[in-house]
Amino acid sequence: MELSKTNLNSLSLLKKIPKSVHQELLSLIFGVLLQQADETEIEKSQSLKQIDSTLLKEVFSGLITIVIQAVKANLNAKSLAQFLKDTSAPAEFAGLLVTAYGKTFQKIKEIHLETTGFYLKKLIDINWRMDYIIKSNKIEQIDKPVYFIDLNLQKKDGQIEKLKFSCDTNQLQDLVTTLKDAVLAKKSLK
Amino acid sequence: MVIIYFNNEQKEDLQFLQELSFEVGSKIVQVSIDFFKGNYNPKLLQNVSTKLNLPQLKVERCVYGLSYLFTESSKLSLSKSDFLESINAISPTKEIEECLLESYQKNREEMRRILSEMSLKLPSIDSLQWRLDVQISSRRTSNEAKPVYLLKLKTSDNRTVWFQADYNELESITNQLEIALKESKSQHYKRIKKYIK
Repeated sequence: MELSKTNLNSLSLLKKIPKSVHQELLSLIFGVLLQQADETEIEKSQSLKQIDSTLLKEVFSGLITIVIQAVKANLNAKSLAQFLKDTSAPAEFAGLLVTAYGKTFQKIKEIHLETTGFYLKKLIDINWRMDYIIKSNKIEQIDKPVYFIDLNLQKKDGQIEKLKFSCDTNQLQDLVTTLKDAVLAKKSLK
Repeated sequence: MVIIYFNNEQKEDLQFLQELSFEVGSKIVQVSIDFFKGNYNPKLLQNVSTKLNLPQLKVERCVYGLSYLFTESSKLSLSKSDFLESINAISPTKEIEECLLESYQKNREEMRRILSEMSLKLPSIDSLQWRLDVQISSRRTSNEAKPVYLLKLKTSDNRTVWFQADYNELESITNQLEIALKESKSQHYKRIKKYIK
């Protein structure tokens, strides 16, 4: 994990923050990372308000960087614990941090890395089904075919997302025409 | 032969039409058609009742009854004779009968369209846009020329999904969908369609 000296320094600065505030600080940090809170929470908290703002700023930014770098390096809770042991982080705080990290790092990964990466989901498979609609509770004698299409998209970490939609015969015809054009475009390249 | 069944309450509400002149009656029928199409305006009901000098509650209940009539008849796609047979239960005057039949026939298709919008369905596809790129190099490799398709799919629930595909995948998917499309022209499908009818 690449961390600057100032970031690592923030861990030792934790000693200057009273222990009673540590949990609240952690909740704020993870709240911000999970996009459930923002820095205005500091104003609302009596205990956080009392801490010197420069100190709070340094510790806050240092910790956020550490967590994000850990997520980027794909560290699990154990590896993070190992890493923190070699730093000047107070043991009790490290324990709290690792616990919170363990619960949330998947979610943080999803939120931040997927929105900034270049990798789009990749189309790997298709399933289709054709039904014939007879009637519904709102309208009878419908008598029309309907297609259900299921596209399998694979994300960078191998997870598969399914994209489902329906279409009638005309829409399917349009879709096939569009795709045929796309396929032909490549043929004219080489 | 399919007929709509009115319960006693509805019969009573609709028989109110008998007491009215043709003009007034047809105005109320028009209001209920608009009501069905989504232009429900309680103030309009108020205005109509005061202008025609009728008790508002009765007018309102009549409009609800007529909406029921039109909903059910569009839902079942009643033929002319079935429709007339159904409204016999409320014994309308000849003129009102004609007015109701005309409104039904004129608006049936649109009412069926509205009903099918309200029915159960999965989000459907709005559009698929594609772009063909050639990947030249990346951090790990250079001097390559890999064709890559960039696709954007929009569905009717306002979701936009971006994804990429390479040529082979796209070709196999196109083939699969062509097979799916051919199914709608197959013998099996035609047989089923015949049997269900």
